Amino acid sequence: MTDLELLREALRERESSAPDPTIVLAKTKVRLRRRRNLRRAAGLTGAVALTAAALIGIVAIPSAPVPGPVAEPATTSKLTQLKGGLLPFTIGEVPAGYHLTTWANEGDGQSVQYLGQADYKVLTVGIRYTDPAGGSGTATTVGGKPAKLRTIAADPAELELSWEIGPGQWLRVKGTKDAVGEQALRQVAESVTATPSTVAPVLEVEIPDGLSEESSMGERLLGQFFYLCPGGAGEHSGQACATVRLRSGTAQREFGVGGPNGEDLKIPLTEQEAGGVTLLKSSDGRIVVRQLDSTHWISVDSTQIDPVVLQRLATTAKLG
Amino acid sequence: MDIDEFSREQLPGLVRFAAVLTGDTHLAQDLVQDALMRAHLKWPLVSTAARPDLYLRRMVINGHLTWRRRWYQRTMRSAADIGDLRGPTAPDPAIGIADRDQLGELLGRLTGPQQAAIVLRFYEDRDDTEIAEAMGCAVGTVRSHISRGLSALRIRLDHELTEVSES
Repeated sequence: MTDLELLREALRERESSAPDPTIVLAKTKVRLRRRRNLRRAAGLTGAVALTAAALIGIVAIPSAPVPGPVAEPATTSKLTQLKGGLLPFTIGEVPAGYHLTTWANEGDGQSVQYLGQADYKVLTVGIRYTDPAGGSGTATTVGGKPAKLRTIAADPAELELSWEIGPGQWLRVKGTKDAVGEQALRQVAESVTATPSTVAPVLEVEIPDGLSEESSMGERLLGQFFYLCPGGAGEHSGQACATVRLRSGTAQREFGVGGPNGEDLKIPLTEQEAGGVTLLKSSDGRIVVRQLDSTHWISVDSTQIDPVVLQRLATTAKLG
Repeated sequence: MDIDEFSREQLPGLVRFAAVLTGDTHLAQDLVQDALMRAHLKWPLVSTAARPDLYLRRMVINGHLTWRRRWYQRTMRSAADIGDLRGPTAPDPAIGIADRDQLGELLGRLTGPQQAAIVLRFYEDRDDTEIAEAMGCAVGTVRSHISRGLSALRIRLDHELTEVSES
């Protein structure tokens, strides 16, 4: 073996330390949302000043004036099962060595992603509300139903099987072409049924009128995130959303947020009773944390939605 | 193409590149996250770049160089170690590479730009022009980084082999 071949081999060996791309993307999205929420607050400076003061503990922060536009506290609400890890389908089989990493509900569909432990390649199973193949792909069948098989020119190339399971609903199974071949993809596809299933704890909250679940995502280590937005507004609409986060473990008396320059900041929380429920809250009420049971806790935060609404979301939350 | 679509297509390759460059899962994750954050915040600029994939790699490389500078500033190093980090620059064709494990360890001791150029050339098989765009430097500089990096690897291996044979 030549020196350069050895060098190439040594470099390829380092591939094994590559992080899971789905986790990288999920964490980036979380940071972007936090940054967006912070920037939507009273022109950044108010939020940063409050945060800095709280951090160094030299100022008693009064009940914060609500910066920017505020969602009015709703008068009615409805107990809602948040989607998150609640899937409208069941996956019967995935290739050996693949384990669940992330799940997401992003408006145009829901999906789960598996990562190959040996090859770090991704397998995605999801439902879409628009035809993922469009007019492309080779006609085939899945379980006797018409389907499309196509190669997606990505890096690395992916193979996708998609088929319509109902009006306006397509299931698709997608995998890295050189890792999950057509036969393995078909096996996964044939095992998918339209029976609902869960891949993570299901959270129920009373969502006030005017808010709805815009999107959600979950990841094994990070927990689940649900974004409740006014009027179901998309994340790019400029309207504020509340972030509900469900995690395993024990709630802490401080809460990490992203600073204006991407730095990590810690906001202290204090214990308060509300409606017979013990909460941990930031001094401005814009971060509310609650231990749901011995192994799960939630946080609810927003820079624009009324703290009364945030508290209501936290106090009504329960595991389904 | 929007950034979500771009991320789905490019992220697997980008995380592998960052991992090969750094040899560290957590650092690679941080660098790619930071790059995606910055790309998202100025997506109109990134998306109109001739090669957004190379632009993202430049962000990862710059992040790595910054990290290395911070690490270097915070770490007490002996004079001998500093000499090792600079590395010799004259090639010695008589001396070959011992084995890939040793080579992998020594890769981490090259200068940041040398590492980046070598990873882009010998892992991603990029040509000089692509490497220059990814690194934000001239083609001649790329060739220099690669040449000096390869030379340093061979000579450093010789240095370590001598130590082993003497012990």
